[in-house]
Amino acid sequence: MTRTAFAFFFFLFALSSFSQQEINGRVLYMQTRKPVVSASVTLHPVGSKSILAYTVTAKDGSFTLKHGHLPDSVTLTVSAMTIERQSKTLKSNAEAVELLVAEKAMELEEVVVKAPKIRQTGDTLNYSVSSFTDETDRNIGDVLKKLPGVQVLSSGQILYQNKAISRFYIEGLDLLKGKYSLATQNVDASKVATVQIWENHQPIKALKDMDIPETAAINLKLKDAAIGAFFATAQAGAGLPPVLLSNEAVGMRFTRSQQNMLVYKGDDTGRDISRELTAHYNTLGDSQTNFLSVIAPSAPSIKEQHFLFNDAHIASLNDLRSLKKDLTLTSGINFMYDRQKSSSLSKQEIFPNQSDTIRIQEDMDARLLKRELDGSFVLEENTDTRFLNNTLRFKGSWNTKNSGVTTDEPITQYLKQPSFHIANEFEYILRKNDKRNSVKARVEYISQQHSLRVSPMLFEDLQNDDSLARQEVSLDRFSAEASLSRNKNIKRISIGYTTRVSFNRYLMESNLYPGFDSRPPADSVQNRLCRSETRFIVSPSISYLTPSAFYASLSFPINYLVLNRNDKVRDIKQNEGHLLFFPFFVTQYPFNSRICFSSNLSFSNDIASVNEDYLGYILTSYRSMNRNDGLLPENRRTSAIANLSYKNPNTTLFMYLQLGYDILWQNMLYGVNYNGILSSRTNILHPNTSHNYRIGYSLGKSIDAINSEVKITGGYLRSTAIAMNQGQISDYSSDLYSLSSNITTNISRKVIFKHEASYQQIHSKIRDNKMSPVNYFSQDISTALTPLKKLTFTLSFNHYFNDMIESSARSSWFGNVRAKYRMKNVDLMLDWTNIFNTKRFVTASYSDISSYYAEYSLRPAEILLRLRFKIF
Amino acid sequence: MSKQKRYLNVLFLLCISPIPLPITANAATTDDDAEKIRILYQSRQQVSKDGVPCFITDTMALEVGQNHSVYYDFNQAKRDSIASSLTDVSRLQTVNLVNDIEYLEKMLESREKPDIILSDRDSESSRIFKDRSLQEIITADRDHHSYKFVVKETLSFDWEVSADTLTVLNYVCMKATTRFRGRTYTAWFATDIPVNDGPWKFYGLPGLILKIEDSEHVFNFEAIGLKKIADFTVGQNLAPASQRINLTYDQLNDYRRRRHKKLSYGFYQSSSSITFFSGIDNPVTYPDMEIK
Repeated sequence: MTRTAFAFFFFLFALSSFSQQEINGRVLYMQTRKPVVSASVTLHPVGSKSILAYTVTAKDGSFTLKHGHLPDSVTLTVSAMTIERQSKTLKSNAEAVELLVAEKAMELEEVVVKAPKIRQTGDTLNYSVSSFTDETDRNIGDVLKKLPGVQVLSSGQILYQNKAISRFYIEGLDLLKGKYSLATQNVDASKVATVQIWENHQPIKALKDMDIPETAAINLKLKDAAIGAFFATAQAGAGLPPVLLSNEAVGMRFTRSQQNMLVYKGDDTGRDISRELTAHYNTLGDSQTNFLSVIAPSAPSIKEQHFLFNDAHIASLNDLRSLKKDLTLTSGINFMYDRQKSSSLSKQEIFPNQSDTIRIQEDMDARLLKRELDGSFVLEENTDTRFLNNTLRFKGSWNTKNSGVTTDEPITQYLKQPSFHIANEFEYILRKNDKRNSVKARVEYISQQHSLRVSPMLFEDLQNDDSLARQEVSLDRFSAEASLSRNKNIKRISIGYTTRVSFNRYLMESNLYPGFDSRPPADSVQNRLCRSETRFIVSPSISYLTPSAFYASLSFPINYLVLNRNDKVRDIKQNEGHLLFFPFFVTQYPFNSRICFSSNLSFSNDIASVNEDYLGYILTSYRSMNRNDGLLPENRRTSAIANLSYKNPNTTLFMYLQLGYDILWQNMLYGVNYNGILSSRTNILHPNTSHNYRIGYSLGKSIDAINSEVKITGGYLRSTAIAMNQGQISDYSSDLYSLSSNITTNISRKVIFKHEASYQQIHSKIRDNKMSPVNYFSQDISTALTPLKKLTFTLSFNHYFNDMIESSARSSWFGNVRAKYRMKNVDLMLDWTNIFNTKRFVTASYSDISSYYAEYSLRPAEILLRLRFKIF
Repeated sequence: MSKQKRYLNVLFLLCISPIPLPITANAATTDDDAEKIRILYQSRQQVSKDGVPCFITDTMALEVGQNHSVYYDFNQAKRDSIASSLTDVSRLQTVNLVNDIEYLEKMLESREKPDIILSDRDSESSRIFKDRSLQEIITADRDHHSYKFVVKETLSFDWEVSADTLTVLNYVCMKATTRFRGRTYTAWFATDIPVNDGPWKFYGLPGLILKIEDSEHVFNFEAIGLKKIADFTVGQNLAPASQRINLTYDQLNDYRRRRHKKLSYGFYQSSSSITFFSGIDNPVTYPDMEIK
């Protein structure tokens, strides 16, 4: 009995010590007294957030909370989506608790999921344009500059991971054939949904998977509403002093089968609109061979708006239409008229040897008139099995330059450079399963009649009563080329060869007339040359591609050149044959989807061009007369480039590292002999090599934590070579370190801050003399404020620093203000440029064995009011 | 080369295309669900592709009211429309069915990847409907047409809440752990969002689960967005009762496991002709979430 009683009491004791405490209750709406269903009920220690017990209310609003051991007082909290959160402190032994709660919609701190800024699908990177656009961006070029991995050079050329893009498409079509600045400067960013980068883009469908290019292409994907719509905008602008005009009319329409773009711009405010017509690919090649030049100010490295006195007009008509599926006809006609003025005072010091210094001081005032008309018509069929392309291009230019130079006396120079160029190229590729055959042909004709007039003539032997010299040079070139290629894929290996025959014929004539004489005074100032080059080229090639995208390709063009040169003045005929090689080896190895290694190795040997054929003197500028010695210059170049690129679209981090090395061997050394400021070129047989070492690094990233797009670029360049002056050979070298950064920060929706900085340090060494290092620094600081929804003020400063200059001019500041007011269909822009009215800019630098100093006259403070309106 | 050539009508491809037909919708809303929010989760699972572990990610949406919720693949509709444009069958006149592995290898060598892959997993196909007041969870899965496979379960979770905290999407979350069908999960829930729901089948904490992961890091769900919504965008889109097939969760898991084991590759020969290779082993093995 005792034992049983003990056991019973022990059981009761155990039960009580393990038994749970319970709190029961109900949750009801205060007003209706209806039960609150599925509300969370939690029990906390008083003043603490930790949870002792929790439950949810049942259909009748009742709940039961159980817990092993509760403190004397506890806090009961009830919450639900439809009620106001309520807490009540009560004794833990409380019996039925009734909570009356007020109805209230839940407050939620919403978190909007943003589409990733950059998405990758296969070989395509998609940059969401809206994620990179801010209040100050107008055209798509403004946005392209900010995209991580993409660089836009000052020429307008676009690079992706440090390699120039090979194509620029709008909705998959190449309307502008290389003149894509027209698109980047005129297509409104708000019309573009996505900028796509197509990596390793092969524009020829029939070569897909056979030939893997290293370069990428850009494609603009428009917003659905922008496809097929016709957009037309016009701008009228006027300003002071004296009279400034900035007008434009732009119309465009893009569909996936037909595209048009019409642009007219006229501007004399220092904004260089002519750059929009630069072709970044599909160029006509080295269309001009310039023998003559005028001494005129070279452009300083500051924003052109501060120094460019221009009056430019451009017109561009572009049309692309699909004649049938995969067959397109693209036409483009462009005209440019540009009148530029520039003036500067420059001082050049040349150090031919330890003791001598040649000083050239020139006060220059130059005028340039450019009139250029070019056009292209491209018919292209591009299918998986067949590629056909016929491109007809022409370009005519009527450019003149005149420059007044004051050295000891005033000298005038007038150069006329009319030239005409026409070319037709044809290409046909046929692919049948693993084989492909292609035929290419090209015919080209260039004619140029250049003349330079100098007054007075400084070269004593040619001085005359008219105090004038006229140098005329004409060059006609005809070239034709035909090639045949065959390729076969055997599993992963592609083997092929190309045979090519090309023919180039040059007719060059030059005469130097002293005064108004119509006959040159001597044979030594005349040239009548005929040069013909016939090349037979065989180029075997082999490439290897694995499914993991490792790609290696070796080509070995062997070129037999038959060269005929005939100097009709000196009656010298030379016929010779040369064996030339141009092997190149390309590899690409993606370690994974992020990191890729690529390399390029090449070798070439070549002989001199027509520029080095002439034996009679040519007055190439008012202070130099040049001729060649009849020796045949030869050169050999080896170059190696290694690239390591990294991309991570998820983190938006893009990086590349590039190492490059070039070695150039030449059998001849060119030199300059000075007589006062007058110079003549000499060349001697003196084999020499020059070396170039490069390291480049770049990083781009969106840092969302500070709403910023950041880019950093660094580089190192070392060059070593020799130069000859006054018959003395000197070696020189330069080491250039550079670092630049670019950051755009959206401090808030109303404040945007941009900072661009660039630093360069150059160490030059001439013979054994180390020059003191020169430091260059430039920065652009800009802040845009949007106090009202439609109104934006932008304040920007440009700062340039050069410590080679010893005066206060080593640091220059420019200030600019812009106000922009947006209405529904009209934008009003008021610009006040160069607000400090900075009137001159000084620059100084070293180049090979000379130093250079220049003072430029600048545009004064200017006010410009522009009205931009949408017509459609 | 054993090449069977057949002419098939358009209906054939409709049969094998992964596009569900529209079906009746029974809205799950009641007055209690007056307030509704949508939470987007990034759902990540570790799969094995040819033996190499890699991750696949889905964007899942959980739409919750006071009593009900629905959990579904947020991008499924978009994927279906892309798939339907790829399998635009109206222009197809010829469909070749081939079982020749050598021919397939040759095609893969020259074309690198197929134009169409059928039976591959392109999204999370299950939709999960909860009625928390009844502790009832309905998992619905689809064949090519409709959500006809239905598993009805009554589930409650035994959560152990601890004092650790973690901030997810600016909300301070508390830690809780539970064991569910062979895996141990750690959840982080926000008491400031008084919704006792969460991704997949998880629920029952005094706050919304913003992050949950199993101890072996095979499955991970993390909230990436929160938004109030006016109405549920996905109703209880189940097939009509007469067509529904009630399954146990074991049977449904079995179906899910088998569904992506074999693939079919389609190569367009021209715009009107396609060649299909079927019975190809899927290089990807998907893990089971619910083991036992």
